[in-house]
Amino acid sequence: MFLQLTRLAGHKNQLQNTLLTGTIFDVKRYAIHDGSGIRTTIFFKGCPLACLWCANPESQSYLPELTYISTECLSCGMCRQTCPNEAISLVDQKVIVAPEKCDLCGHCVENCPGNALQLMGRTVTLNGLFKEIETDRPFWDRSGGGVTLSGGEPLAQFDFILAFLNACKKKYISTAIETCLYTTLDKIKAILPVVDHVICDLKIMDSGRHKINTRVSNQMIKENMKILLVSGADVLVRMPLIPGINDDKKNLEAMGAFIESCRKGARVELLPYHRLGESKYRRMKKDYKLVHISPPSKEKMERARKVLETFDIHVLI
Amino acid sequence: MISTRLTNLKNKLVDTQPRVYAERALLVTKAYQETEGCEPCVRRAHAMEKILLNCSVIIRENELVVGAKTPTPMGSPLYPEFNSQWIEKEIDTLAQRKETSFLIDEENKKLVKEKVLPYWPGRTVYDRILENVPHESLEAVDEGLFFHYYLNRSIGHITVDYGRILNQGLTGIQTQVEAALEKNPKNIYLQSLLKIISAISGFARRYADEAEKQAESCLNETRRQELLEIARICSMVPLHPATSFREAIQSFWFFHLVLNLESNSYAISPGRFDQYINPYYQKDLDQGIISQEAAQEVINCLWIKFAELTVVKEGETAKASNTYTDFQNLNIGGLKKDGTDGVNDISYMCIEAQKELCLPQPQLSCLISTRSPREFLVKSCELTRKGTGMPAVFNADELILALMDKGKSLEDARCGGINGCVEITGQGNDNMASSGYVNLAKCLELTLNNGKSMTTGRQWGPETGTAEVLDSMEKIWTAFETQIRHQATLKHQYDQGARAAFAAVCPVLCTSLAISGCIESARDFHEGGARYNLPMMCGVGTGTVADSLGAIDWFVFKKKMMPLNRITQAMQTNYATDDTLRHMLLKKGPKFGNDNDEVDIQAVKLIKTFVKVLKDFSNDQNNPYAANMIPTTAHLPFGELTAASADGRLAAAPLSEGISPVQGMDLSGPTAVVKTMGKIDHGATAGTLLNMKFTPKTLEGADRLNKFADLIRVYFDMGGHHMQFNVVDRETLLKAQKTPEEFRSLLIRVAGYSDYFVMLSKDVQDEVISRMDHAM
Repeated sequence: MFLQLTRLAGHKNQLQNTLLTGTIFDVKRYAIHDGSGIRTTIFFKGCPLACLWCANPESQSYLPELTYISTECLSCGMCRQTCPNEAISLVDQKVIVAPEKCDLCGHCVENCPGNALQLMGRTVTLNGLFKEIETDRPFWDRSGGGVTLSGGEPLAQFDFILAFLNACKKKYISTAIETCLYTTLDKIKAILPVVDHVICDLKIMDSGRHKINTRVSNQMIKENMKILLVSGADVLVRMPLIPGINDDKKNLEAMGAFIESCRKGARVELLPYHRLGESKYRRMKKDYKLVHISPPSKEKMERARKVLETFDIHVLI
Repeated sequence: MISTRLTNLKNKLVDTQPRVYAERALLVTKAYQETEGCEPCVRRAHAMEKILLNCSVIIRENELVVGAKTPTPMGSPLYPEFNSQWIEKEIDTLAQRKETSFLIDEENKKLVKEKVLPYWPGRTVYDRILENVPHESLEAVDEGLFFHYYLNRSIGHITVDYGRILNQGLTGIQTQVEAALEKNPKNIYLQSLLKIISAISGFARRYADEAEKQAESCLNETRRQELLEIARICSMVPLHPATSFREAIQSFWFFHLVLNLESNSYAISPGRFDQYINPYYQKDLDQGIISQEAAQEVINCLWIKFAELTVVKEGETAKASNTYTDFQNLNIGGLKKDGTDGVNDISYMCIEAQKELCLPQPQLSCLISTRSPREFLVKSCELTRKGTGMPAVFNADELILALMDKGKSLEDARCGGINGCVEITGQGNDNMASSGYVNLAKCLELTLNNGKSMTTGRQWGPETGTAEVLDSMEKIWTAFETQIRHQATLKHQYDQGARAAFAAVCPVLCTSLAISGCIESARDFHEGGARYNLPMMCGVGTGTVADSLGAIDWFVFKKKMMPLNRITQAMQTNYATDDTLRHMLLKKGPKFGNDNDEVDIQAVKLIKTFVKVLKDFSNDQNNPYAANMIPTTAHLPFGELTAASADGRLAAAPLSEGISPVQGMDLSGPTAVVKTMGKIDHGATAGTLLNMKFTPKTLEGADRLNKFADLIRVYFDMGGHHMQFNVVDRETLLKAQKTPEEFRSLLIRVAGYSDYFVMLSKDVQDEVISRMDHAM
């Protein structure tokens, strides 16, 4: 009786897992910059933060988004013909989508010969996603690589990624997660046994400035980071260096001191701010607010490294 | 790092304009005039003797390895006995043409016109080929169905047994010929071989004399000593077995040079160079005769010699094979005869030579086995990172399977290597060649138009059904196979006729001296005297065909969005009235190279079909034909003559190259390309060519380089045959087009070879630029 019940419970669990869905906006293969070996990085959609320098504006909203580039449009009307909700009209040879009628079904995108209409983000099932990425296994096996969950914020889709990490663990696939740590501690504790590497961000130490630049306070982030670093898990702390926003000596010193206090010899990687995502803002009709900031020079990066290296931490660029 | 000697030699090489010289043509013409009515082998022997004993002896300043084809580097003799007609037609425009131009001065031109050209009409190999092959097969060239080699150049694709020359010397080979003559005393062919042996030693003797003469008048004591040493070496080899590293290198070069003077063959390849050179190096090293640095300098000097060699080609050939380089494929690594790892010191010194000199020749190929040390793979990748398009990397383990599949013994397969671009071949025992290319995209065009060309309307194949009748993928494939078979039949007729012409009138005696089987059987290499004979045909347009069939399968049969004839009609009009459809096919169809089974199976099936069809054809030795998936640059002229295709490609646009995805369509990154190509049965072919382009940043640093090495390793784990890489930014290439003078030394990978980017014609440059960058 008991056996039957557990089996039933297991079945139910499995059923739930197959029904679980996640929303992602990209799968990057041959990812060679985030951790050991050749990796496959899954970008989850949706983030509690909205950093001004975010290079993936399409990662911020939790829902798929329909975008349109008029210069690619053939004005063929295929989208209007195939829209089941009559949400599309053509005005002056340009596509207008009525947001209240559009349910993001994607028919128009599928039938757009010019690729002018595109859907940022798609829903995936656990099995579907697993099958999609598992084709890269030969590369992980050869190079000591694996899967990296990134975003957006993967932990914002906690149930899905927990199940996904478990599935990887069962199949001996190495995993990493990139997280902003803006989440509750129980979730972090839940994933630690099933994830091999954690890459987390530390951006600004001053809570007020953090909120201005990222939309949220950093209180929870700092608490989580402390526990994570103390726990002995494999952690890499990343710090994007954005000139004029967080590259001042005071901030750098505060960060160095904080990380050192959590774990001596912790690994910290400095990432130079870049503007490669700017065109995506235009495509999404969003404002890029850092137009006045240029990427940091090599000298600036080195200067920041020197400041951080006065603490007992291991700094990489 | 690079010595003054090498800097000087390299500068001289790079600064010299390619130029044509009349000398060889005059000598060969005179020799043929003197031997009217004699057996072809007697005439060839006389001609080679005349050339080797009368051509200019050239020892350039600072050289350590000597022997040159022409007074200036990058010079080409003429070979009128193969085809004089094209020379007559094009001699005045050689200097101006778009593809691989050559200068020729008035004096040389006059000599050719007066003393050479009048003799040859009716007497060339070309004339004989025209008698032998059906007209239709030649006309199909203008239709873009084929490209035929051999019409103006010798068959080639030769890797002789250089090791035998080094180990036994010509004296050793002479003993073998004499032994054969004892059994067969009146055999003229064997007698001709003896004559050739003495001519080759006479040639080396002339170099010894010249070196001595230069030494006498040399005021620089260091150089004087060098010249005396050169004189000593040239008096020993290749007549006697080499006794040192220096002698081995010189002996190799003399024989290689003689092969290049014998015929204007394609792809006379050094083959497994490190295997036959290393024993001499190790012996000298042990005895303290040479240091590693000194040996490296000699290898570097040899590299300059390789880069000197070029052949002037007829205009159409220059389009299909648009390069000055001459496919001297030098293999390193791989396995030894006993199956153990073959990587040695010379392997690494060859990588070093290319790293230091960055020359377009020789074509360096690294044969990588699971038994090779990781260091060999990573050092190959370090060279790749230099961005010279070299080395090409090959899967030594799959190579063995492929060679055994084509009839080689296990030991011969382990000793086998690569010739030409990516073709598998035995070493010193194999007559392996393809007479050119078959346009598979054009075969699909015929299939979709009931056997008729869409560009000219001519019925080229059987009527296999109109678009209305082809109502399933199975039916399309059946029709497609019929069309491929029909074209292969035509191509086979050409191949057989052309080979018969060479066998009848053009023995290659020097080559035959060092190919196992020829002396024993007293049969020339061109007559099938080699122990192995592996005929092949090259298929072009794999990616274009895969994407076209993938699009048809998806839109017509799976999604039922349109009837097939909407696509075929649009192809007929070059999508003039249905641009929406073209965009749909181009942007929404499944694309080969993205690890998408839907479409990848089309390419897998195409290659499988081509392999199967070719097996039904055989050469005179009853060896079935093998399939080879390379285009050199034929995908451009083929593209020009191919109608719009069902993947949305416009008429006249380039076809895809090798087995690579259609240019710019591999959007899922390099791992997906590797996975896709891993689905192909490479071992069943005689070679496949995969080009990839990476941005330099992707290979920066040891960590990324190691990941790149892993990518190669995975491809080979999956049974892939070959990969080559361009590591250059798109911006750099665009800049080089604008200001070529600043980018004279920019080497890039075109097909199975590297070439100076600025020396390529504009359409080849554009095609290279359009290939997908794999970035970060």
